[in-house]
Amino acid sequence: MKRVLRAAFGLYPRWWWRRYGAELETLVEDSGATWPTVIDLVFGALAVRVRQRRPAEPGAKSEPSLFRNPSALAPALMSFGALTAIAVHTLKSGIAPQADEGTAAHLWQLLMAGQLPFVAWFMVRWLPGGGRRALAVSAIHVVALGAALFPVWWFNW
Amino acid sequence: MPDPTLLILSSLADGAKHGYAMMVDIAEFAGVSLGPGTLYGAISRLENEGLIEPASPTSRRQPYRLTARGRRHLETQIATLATVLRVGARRLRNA
Repeated sequence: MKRVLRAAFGLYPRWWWRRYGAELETLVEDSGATWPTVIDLVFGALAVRVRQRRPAEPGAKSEPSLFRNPSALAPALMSFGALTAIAVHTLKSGIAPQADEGTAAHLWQLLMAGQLPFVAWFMVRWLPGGGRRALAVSAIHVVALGAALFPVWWFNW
Repeated sequence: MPDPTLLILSSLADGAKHGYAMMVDIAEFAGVSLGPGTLYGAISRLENEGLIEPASPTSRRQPYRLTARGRRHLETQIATLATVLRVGARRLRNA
């Protein structure tokens, strides 16, 4: 059982274990180690990994930007790409609606629809426990999406 | 199962407790058996949110207590739950 417990303890993130590991070990000793305890520890470790972020330490370097994650960067780039497609099309062909959908329209649709899974994944992965930084990135996604949608609505395309 | 964070805040409402004391207390007043992983996951979330804080340790066990913000949060949660219970009970009676 001790080996199994050690394996379960090993699933916790290192920063979390440094802070709470000794306390958790004492609690497991007090409450008794059973198989349900091991299962609870495994799920507890997964929950910590998914829901909790390492708190910033005083004097520590600031955390790396969330935009290093593809799910944060891709939607912003795709909205920018969609907006660029509109700008290029407008410069070349003007703002009059076209009878058939051209390359720019298809590109715009692909970029707009393609970013939705990234936006959804970012919200699921980072918003719970991600604090203001994650909220700010989500706000940027929404604003960028709105900016790319606006010309289509404005010109009634 | 009720939200473990609410159970922990309720357990700490009458004073500081360490993990095992919380487990026993919660089992008594709520009939819920929280495992150590669930309990400590919730404790670390509550501490990160500034709702609880470590108190002076007794032996190897680390007790926690409510912060002022934690107490206000618990009061708000209880008021919301009380409203839900009142409305739910009234609607059941009238159904």
